[in-house]
Amino acid sequence: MQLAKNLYGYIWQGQDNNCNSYLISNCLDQNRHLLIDPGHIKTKGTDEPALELLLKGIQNDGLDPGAIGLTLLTHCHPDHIEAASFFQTRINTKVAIHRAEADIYQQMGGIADLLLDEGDLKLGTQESVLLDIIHSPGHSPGHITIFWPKEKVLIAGDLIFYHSTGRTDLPGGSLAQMKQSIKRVSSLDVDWLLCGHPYGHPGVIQGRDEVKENFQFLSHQMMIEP
Amino acid sequence: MGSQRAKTAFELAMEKVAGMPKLNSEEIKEEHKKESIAKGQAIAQNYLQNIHHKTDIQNEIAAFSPDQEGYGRKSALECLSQALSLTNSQTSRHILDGIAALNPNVSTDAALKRLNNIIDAFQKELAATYVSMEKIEVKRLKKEGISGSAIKPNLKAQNSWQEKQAELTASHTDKLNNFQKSLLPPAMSG
Repeated sequence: MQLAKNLYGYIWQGQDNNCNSYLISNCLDQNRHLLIDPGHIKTKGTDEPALELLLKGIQNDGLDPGAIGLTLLTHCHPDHIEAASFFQTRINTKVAIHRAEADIYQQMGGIADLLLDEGDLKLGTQESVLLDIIHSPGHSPGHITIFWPKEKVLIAGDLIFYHSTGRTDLPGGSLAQMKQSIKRVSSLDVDWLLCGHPYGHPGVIQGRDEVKENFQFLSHQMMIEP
Repeated sequence: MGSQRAKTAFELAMEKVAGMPKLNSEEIKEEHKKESIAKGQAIAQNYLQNIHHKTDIQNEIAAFSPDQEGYGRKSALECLSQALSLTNSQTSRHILDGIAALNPNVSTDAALKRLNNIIDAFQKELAATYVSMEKIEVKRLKKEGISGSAIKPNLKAQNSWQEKQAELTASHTDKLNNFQKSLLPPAMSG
């Protein structure tokens, strides 16, 4: 579904675990798109056709999934990365992951075309979309969040959900790092907070006040010092 | 009717051995040679694994019989020199110390300097090639509309880099091989 101009969200509505995916349209050369976290091909518990649903969702928005030129992975967990290989092998989409998780991605059978570090990502031959890649460890060592300052969009992966955060008890997780990462991104000017899962809420938090309230709730709950 | 005792397995085996042709002096010499080569390799391996020190390997080679000492020394030296590599320079001095202990014509410091020159040249060419290939890839990405400080091509995962790396390694391995041969006494290096 379209969230804003050139911004689309594919909110997971199945029963099993899978991530939300997001898309920024027409930002690469030849009007190709950027996809963030393609999720599972099929969910692990009940074989729900997650990729098929994502492809249908993109088509229903009048976009061509074959025109996805770049896939960013917020972190290397199967429920976010599995379908990346489909886009890479079938559509020749480039796949990017944080440098700290490239080796584990390879061990899981993927090959990253591009490595991410904290910094700016310019998309389009006219550099029409400028994104900030923010290294946000806590849920995983190479977790990233993606900030689009012009549109005030923060794509948060599994760092932040609605009134909740990502787990820190998985390999490479760290509560201390999670607190630091949340504190860092909470200072950004955000109108759209796009979460990696629809846990008890679609995971799309819209409006400056709503986003602020969510950060305040988490700061209080996690005892993050201002 | 006389009773005939069945032969035991041992007796049968002894009969078989007795029927086998004996080794001639050339064959005995060859067996000793093989044994000395294997011992020389084992001495070198113990040194490489830090089980033995350089004085130990000198003593062990000196303990060979005069006609076998050459084979043992040669195989130990070959084994040690083969352990030198373009990618692991941390053990170079230890290996060259062992070689110098068995070949008085080798000076550890001088050999180490030559080896480091070979390794440095390899690493520099590798690094320069990586940088130049990365630049080309960055330019290509920019044309596709992907650029910025946050993104770098993962060249190491690409076939083009792996092929180039193999090509460079092969060309510098020739230089390393020549160096390794130079560590053997002239009569052994052929």
